[in-house]
Amino acid sequence: MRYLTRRFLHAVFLLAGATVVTFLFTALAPGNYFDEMRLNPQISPETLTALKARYDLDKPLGIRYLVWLKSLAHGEMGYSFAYNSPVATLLVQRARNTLLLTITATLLAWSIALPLGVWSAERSGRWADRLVTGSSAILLVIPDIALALGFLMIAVHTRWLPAGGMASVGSETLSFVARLWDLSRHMFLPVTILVFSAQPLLVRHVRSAVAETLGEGFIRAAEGHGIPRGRLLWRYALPAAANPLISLFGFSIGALLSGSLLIEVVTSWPGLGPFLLEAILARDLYVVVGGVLLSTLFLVAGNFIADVMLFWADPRIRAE
Amino acid sequence: MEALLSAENLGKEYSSRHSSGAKTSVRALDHANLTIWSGTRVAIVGASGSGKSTLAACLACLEKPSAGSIRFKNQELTALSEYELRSIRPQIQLVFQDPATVFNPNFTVLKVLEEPWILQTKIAAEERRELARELLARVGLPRNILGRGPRDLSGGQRQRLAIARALALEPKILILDEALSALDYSVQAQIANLLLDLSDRSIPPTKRPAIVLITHDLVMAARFAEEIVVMQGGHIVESGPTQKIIGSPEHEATFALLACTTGIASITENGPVV
Repeated sequence: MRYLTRRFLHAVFLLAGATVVTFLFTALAPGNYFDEMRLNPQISPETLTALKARYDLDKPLGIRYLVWLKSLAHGEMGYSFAYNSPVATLLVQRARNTLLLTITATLLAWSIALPLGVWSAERSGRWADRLVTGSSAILLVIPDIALALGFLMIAVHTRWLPAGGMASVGSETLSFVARLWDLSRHMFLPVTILVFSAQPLLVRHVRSAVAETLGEGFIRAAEGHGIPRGRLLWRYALPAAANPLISLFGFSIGALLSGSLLIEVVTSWPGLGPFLLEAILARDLYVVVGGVLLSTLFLVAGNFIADVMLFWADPRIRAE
Repeated sequence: MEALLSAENLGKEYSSRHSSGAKTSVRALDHANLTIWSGTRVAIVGASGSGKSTLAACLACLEKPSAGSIRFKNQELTALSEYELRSIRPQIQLVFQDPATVFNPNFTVLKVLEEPWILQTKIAAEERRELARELLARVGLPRNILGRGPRDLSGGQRQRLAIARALALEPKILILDEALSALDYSVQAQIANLLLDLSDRSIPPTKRPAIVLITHDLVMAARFAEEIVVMQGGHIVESGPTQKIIGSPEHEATFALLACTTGIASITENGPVV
């Protein structure tokens, strides 16, 4: 319990630190959202001053941070300059779309990587293993953007799948089942790209962790006890190899919000990625800070979940 | 007595491929012939790299020999599939040298002992627990350590647990591959005594396991075994009753091993006089 409490406090401290650093960096960046308005002769300097005062941009950094913290406590996370509405509401809408994509992709990627990695590890050095490691090495060197463009090209040429967006025009009038089908068709492309880009790393980690464990004495001893091969792989080798994989799974959770940024932009998925990109370019300060906070929250939560899982899975950690 | 396990012209070759692509092979075992009779105590001795452990792994069906045959109760083992070997392996148990690495790190002592019963019998959970306690008592371990992890035990206790796990399957042959080497002398003596108790002559031969002790320590082999097999360079160079091997050795490898000991004066009914 002390271990978990320590990890939880560590997580809270990390989260607080991330907000301070983000605030500091955004303050150090030159200019702000209203600077471009100065060039517009229709907007008077008084209006600009009033706008800056309204969003507390005329106050020192420390005060701005405290005001933002107060807003965070009210569940708003500050106000967006561009949308003139609470950041939290805006982020939640986009984050929902992103999570729909990334949770599906992460679950799919892991459910393929686990059996494939274990299968490959069991055939270590044989042609099946070489095929898996070779193809994952090829996938690993292909940049995500090339993978995404390749899949988009296939989608556009074959017209089997929609090449972008989250829903077809007029889909609101469809029945629930038809809308679900429409959503699945739109999800197929970005999810496939995400799975393909995550796959090689996961498979290689699972393979190497399990292959290493399969060479250990207790596996050989268990083999000598007549334990069936399937049980050896899934009940002996995989749990014993789980520690690095659990940490990797924690990272997968951590990357749920931030990992799909590029793919969302390329496939026009209305998620957090394009929204944050737009906010960064427009210097919409509180949206950027809110986005970073949310991503950090996922990263920290991912690590915390991994810690809890490690604690549960490994008696050596419990003993410590 | 009946021949339990016999190896005929057994050979094992390990090959590896270098990064340059060149293939090299090492013959770890060559034309080895050996018979183990039920209920006997045999020691296989030899210097490092003489092929003792390879022979042990082949006999325990953990390595597939490259040549020759192994017969267990008149059944040829080298022709059996992995699936068919699964029912044979529990009867030929191998205890490894390093007791720190042979237990699943996620298992408790109870889980270590009961796993084969779960898979191979229909014994109820409470009965399994009681059987595990009895097994612990049999190898001289406290009965209340079922909930502990093997890593919480000392080296000697772990090796006792490894022997208990092997005994859980009621094997016909128990092979100890340098299982005493990593332990200090007092623990070695305790475990050797435990093995002597397990193979006590008062137990009928069919009820007691044949014990094969693999060691480089000729004194330990002479104290323990009724028969000694000497190996060198993958070959069995000499074998016979302990008194004969110690009293009138014929091969230079046996002489060399004898020269390494502090001196065995003679062999009595109670073992060698050092």
